[in-house]
Amino acid sequence: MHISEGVLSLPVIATGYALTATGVGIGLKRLKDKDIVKTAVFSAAFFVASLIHVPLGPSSVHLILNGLVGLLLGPACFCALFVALLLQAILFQFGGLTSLGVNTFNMAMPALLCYAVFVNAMRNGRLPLVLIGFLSGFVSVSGSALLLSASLILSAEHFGSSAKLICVAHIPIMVIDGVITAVVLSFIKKVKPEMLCA
Amino acid sequence: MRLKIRLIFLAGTVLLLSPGHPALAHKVNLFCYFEDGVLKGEGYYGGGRPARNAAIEVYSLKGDALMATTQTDEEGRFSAEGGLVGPVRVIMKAGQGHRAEFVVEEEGTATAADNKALGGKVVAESEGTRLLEDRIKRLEARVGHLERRSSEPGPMTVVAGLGGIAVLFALVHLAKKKNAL
Repeated sequence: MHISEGVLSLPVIATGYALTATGVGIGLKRLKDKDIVKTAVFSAAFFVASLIHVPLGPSSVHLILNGLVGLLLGPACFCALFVALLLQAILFQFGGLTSLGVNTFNMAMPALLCYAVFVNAMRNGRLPLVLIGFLSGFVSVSGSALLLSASLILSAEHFGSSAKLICVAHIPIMVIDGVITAVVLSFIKKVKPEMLCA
Repeated sequence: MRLKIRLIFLAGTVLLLSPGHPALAHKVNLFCYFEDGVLKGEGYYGGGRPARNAAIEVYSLKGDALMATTQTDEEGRFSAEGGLVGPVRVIMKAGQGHRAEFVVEEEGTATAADNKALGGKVVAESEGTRLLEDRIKRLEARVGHLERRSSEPGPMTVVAGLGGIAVLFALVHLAKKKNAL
């Protein structure tokens, strides 16, 4: 899911940074002092999740968990994902500093969308928590795959064929992420239910 | 308060710079070399899994002219024939935004050059041993290079990353507190 250095065109890089800067700015403004620790914890969870590889086909597939981060952090997910991706780029050479803006936006925007769609249902209990968790994991990874494809297509036309395969290649990780998000949400409901209502 | 901020900033900087060697995982890696005048190489992801069917482009180092294109096989390996001479820049595009680059400085293998120089002469035992030793040294260097490149991030690197996250959010907390005052 991380786009490497030297792949994206300059306009796409600039747009990615502009969108991410806006997201991080709004996230920071809305981030309450009491939620900073929670945001840091989910940033750390996302940071480590990328090290858990799922060997599928020729591609590199790993856990993402951006749906979980988005659902529990809301707009602050931009801050959490930006920090985690920045440190992954510096320490692990996942992605790169030039593509950091696009990578952050690709991960955070679908996560924020999941928050907007599912947060009320989660707080009111209108939908089963397991279903909300699965859908968040599934939809956020699908959205990230679509944005990743769009970033590559916008950078160069010949990435089109590769980009079309991305969504198909990520179907297993959509399901795995959905299941893990559902399990984590169920666990949080048992041990710290107030976190779901905050 | 200022001292506290400085200490946290210093700790963060130390944590960020603490890994002696960068861990290379998940990203796609490329290693290339000339063997008997043929450019060969292999692409792999972190942990050593091969990058299959990845597009390979060979450019001249001077002028950036495209000299050859090919793709990796099921084991992530490729070879590009057609009289290529170094130095060349090899770019691998493994799809999904994965890209790796490798510059091969060497113009050809020393073995090929040595063999040409020796011509049809009978190779003396000492010369044969020297050639063998040279070849082993090159292979050792290559194996060492591959080991370094395919290593997963070590626990220290992960701890450094987690420390970095803690420090950055501590700075956010301090900045918000300062603004609130």
